[in-house]
Amino acid sequence: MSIFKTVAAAFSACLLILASMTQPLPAQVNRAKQPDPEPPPKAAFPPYETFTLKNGLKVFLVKNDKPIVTFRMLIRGGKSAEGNQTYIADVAADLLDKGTTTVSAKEFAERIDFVGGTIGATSSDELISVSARGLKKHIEVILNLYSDAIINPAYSQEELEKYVQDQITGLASAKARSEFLADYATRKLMFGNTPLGRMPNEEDMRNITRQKVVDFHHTWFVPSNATLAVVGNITKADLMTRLESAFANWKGGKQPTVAALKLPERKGRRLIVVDRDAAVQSTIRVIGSGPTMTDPDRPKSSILNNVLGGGTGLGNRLTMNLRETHSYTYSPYSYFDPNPFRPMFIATADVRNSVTDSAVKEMLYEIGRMRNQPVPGDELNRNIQSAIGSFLMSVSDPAVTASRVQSIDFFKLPKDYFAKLPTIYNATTAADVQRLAKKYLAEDQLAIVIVGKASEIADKLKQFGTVEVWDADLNPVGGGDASADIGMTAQQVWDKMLAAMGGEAKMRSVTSRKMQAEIGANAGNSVLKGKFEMIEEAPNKNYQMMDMGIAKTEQYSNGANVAMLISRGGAPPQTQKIEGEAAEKYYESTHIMPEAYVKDLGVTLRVKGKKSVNNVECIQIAVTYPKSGEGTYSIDAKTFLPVRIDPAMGMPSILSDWKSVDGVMFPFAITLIPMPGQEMHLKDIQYKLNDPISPAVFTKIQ
Amino acid sequence: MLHHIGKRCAAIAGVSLAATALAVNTGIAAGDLPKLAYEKFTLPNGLRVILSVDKSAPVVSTFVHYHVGSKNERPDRTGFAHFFEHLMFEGTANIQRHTLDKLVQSAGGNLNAFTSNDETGYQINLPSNQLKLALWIESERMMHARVEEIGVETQRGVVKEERKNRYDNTPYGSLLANIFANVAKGTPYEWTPIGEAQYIDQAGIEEFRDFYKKYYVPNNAVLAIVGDIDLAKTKQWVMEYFSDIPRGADIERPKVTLQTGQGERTVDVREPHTPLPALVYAYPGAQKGDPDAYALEILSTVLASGQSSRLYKDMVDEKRLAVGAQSLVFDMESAGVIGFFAVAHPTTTMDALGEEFDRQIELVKENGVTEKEFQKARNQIETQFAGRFNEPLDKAMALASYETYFNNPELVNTEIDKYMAVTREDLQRVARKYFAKENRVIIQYYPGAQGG
Repeated sequence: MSIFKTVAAAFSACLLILASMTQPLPAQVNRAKQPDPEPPPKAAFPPYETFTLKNGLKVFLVKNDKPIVTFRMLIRGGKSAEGNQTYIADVAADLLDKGTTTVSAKEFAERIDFVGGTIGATSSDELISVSARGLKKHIEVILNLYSDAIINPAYSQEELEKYVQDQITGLASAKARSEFLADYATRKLMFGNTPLGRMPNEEDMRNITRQKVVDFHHTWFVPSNATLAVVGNITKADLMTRLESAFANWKGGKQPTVAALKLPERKGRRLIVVDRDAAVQSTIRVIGSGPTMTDPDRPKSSILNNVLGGGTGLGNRLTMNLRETHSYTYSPYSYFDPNPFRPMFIATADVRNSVTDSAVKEMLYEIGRMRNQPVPGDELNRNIQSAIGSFLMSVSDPAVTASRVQSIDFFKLPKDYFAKLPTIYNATTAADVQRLAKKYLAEDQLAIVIVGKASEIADKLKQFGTVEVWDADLNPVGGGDASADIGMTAQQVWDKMLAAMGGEAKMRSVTSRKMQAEIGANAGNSVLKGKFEMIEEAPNKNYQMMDMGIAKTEQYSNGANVAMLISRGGAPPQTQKIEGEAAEKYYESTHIMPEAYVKDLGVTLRVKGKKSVNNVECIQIAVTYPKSGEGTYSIDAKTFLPVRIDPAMGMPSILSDWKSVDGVMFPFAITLIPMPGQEMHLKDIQYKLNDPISPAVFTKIQ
Repeated sequence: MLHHIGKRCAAIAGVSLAATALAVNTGIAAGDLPKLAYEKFTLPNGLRVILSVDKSAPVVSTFVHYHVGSKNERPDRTGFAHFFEHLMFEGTANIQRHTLDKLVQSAGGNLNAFTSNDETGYQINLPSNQLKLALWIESERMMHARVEEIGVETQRGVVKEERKNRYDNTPYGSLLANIFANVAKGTPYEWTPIGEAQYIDQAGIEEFRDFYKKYYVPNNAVLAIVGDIDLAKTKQWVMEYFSDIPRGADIERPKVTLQTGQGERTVDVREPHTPLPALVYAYPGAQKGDPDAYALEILSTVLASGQSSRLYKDMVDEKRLAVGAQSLVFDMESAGVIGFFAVAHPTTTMDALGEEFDRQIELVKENGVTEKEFQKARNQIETQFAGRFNEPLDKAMALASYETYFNNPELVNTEIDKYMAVTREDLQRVARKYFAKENRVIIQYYPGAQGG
């Protein structure tokens, strides 16, 4: 067949060329005038079929003639169903393709890869979506793996541990991205201390157990709580037979319900700057409110958004202003998020540091213009036509049709909800748009979140409201003292800690300390073992040595400079020095028994709040040094011994197994965290206090 | 629920993966996959036109493929082709400045564009009754685009922000620039399409006009139209709008040969926003259409496509050396680059990543791949190509690209044969041929301060 077509094409091309050479050129078109369109095409909402399996699973089928078949199951719940265990919905989704009770993770990957298919799941605020895709001719293999993953996921301890480890690592790099921080800062502001508002942290990840994942799956993955959409070249009868067989063993109780979320009240302007010192751009979010999917305002809000910062072209107002007129940014845009718990309007732009305030001003100006002036007729009409056109084009994609059919069911929308959209768009007036702008984008209710370099941008933002600066953990920087929450001042907590550690006087009597330990670190699946030694002398001299066999580091701190000697493999040792201001910062926090000298060192203390750290209920005290900045002590709320220390400089440590040495308490199990996800364990620790130390110990290579 | 809009234009380096094609599953004929029917003709001014009917929805897509990319730039004017892509949205003799987008939007459509090392492509999607609008806009842009100071000035700022956004502020955003700067050193593939900002600042308005006159001519372009169209009417309209655009001078195509045999080189990159160390091995590969390019693509599928692939299974899953590992295949018009990229797990070292790369490469060189791996990769590629035509625009882009690079749109149906022709032995052969230590560039990303 293809030969015939090629010949035909070549033949017709010849004719055309002949025609154009032997005849005068075609009539000149009037180039000055935009061509008139042909009569508009009719777009019907594409047909689909629906049926229910014996186990109650509702199925939608959208047929096409393509060789690929796709499955998408929606399971109600998602993040909103997490309760107190942040991230559990993500774990339940992300581990779904990591093997089943009868097929190992490796075999599962091997089987689906072999047929060129993919299976995966993601969780969102209100649901978990599980998808499979592949060639129709491999439907048997794909469907077997897909249903097995949904019904019998293994959630093995081994895969869970690997996953948690990876997520902790991933979190560190995610926090280096402005967009990630902007997303979660917005969430924290809008959803507060609910599952939707919490940024995952290392602690939450570590608290996830296999049983919690299994329980979550058991509760939410039931047929009555799910729908399945299928797109492909398959008949209803064939599909029904295959699904009844693949999901025959899927039973389950009644549909669970999501408990209501207690969201923080939105009142007044909030202006948050999340400080990212390395940022060369500011990521700006201006946040209003909006309609849910079921709100009658929803369709017309699309027109409002098209004019302001959405639509399919570059003609919207935010782009014209910020990109084309001012060159502030590459791609500003806005959208209404019909989040069922708290719908929002979000306008966003990434701009260079120096124009952050100017860009915010222009964004607020454009939003204000939507409220204060009706949209001119031609601009309104253009955006209405655009919305209708987008709808026309969207019906060409069966996957979109399938997801719409599922949305109708999920959100209990009228059956003709999508089919009616063009009519509603067409009837939208300038007054409608202005009314929606006033309702959802009121000036004093707009929140602003900016991720950027606070030292360069924060001052100039004061014109827009009270600037609150957050750190990369989304905690207020130098912010409020939470003494009231715990019923103690920071100093009182600190004094209790000093008492628990043996008392301030006793601690200050320590003039030197030697510590030796065995050290173990995980490297991939193997464990590296080595030796650790530290010698300290008052006030702040120290020597540290870590010998892991393949690498050895020594650090000599004589109170003025720091010199490091690093030897790796057989290579000649390298020397590194810390001097000047960096050394001054370093020495601030390396005082011997530093807890007993906070006043001498000019440290300020602040209560951050209560938090579970390593499964211990802790009080967190922010410890701020004059030069090196803020660190955190997480102190056991019962024993008042430190559980974890995150110093202003240097690596975090987790401390346990406290015992007395000559009347002062020291930890006999220490875990050092050089990087998130990496751990070094100190064991067989020995301490020796107040031995005379030779000065040469600290100055060998100074 | 979040959708990104208005992200027009993507300066992509090295056209990349998936030149296109499909491979065939064991015992099942390639004829399984539906054939794409089309018609092709050429106007007297040299414009090649390809039409294909797709009645799945009342929409039409046009794609104008100009055979000019960053490799056509002067070394002291990099970024020119991509900058031009932005200028082409400024307006034309008959289309007012800043109205081009609005025209398409008002008609219910959308438009976009991209630039790579070899090409610049312009896309318009519209309801099918608005096809003439797309033809008018594209013929206007080909005939007399506005190349004016005011537009140049605006787009200078926009492109700088794009650069910051996509490359300077993104972890590993400089990856491709570093690979090409080293593997393609001394050739026009040395720089990536985004180019260096200062050259656009240095260029005068005449230089922009000369670039337009030289490359934005009908004999350097292919127009593909796919959708719910009437073939006879469409041909008539194409002739009306495009026939009176004058042909330009013939264009000399740069010949590129990547240097080999100059010994292994190591480049360290320290950037403040690098979250974890990462390692790249890169080598000269095979150019688009070279039989070896198909073999390299299948080999890279074996090595890094899916959770059962070698790199994922060993480096990410079992040994926990990397948080992610992938192979890199760039098949450009006149050269290729192939390599590996892994981001280190926090508990591992750069050396351990390198040792594992070395081990994997030696394994393939010594033992080739298993029959099962070979079949799996072919199945994966078959699925990839069976699923590539979701929208009319996908078809238009494939047809135009085959015409531009091979003068043969029929490859849309037959490139499968080239994948089919690759044998298991070829995979071992290309591994030995291309993964040569003396051609290797090693790029090491470390978290840290700039420069360093």
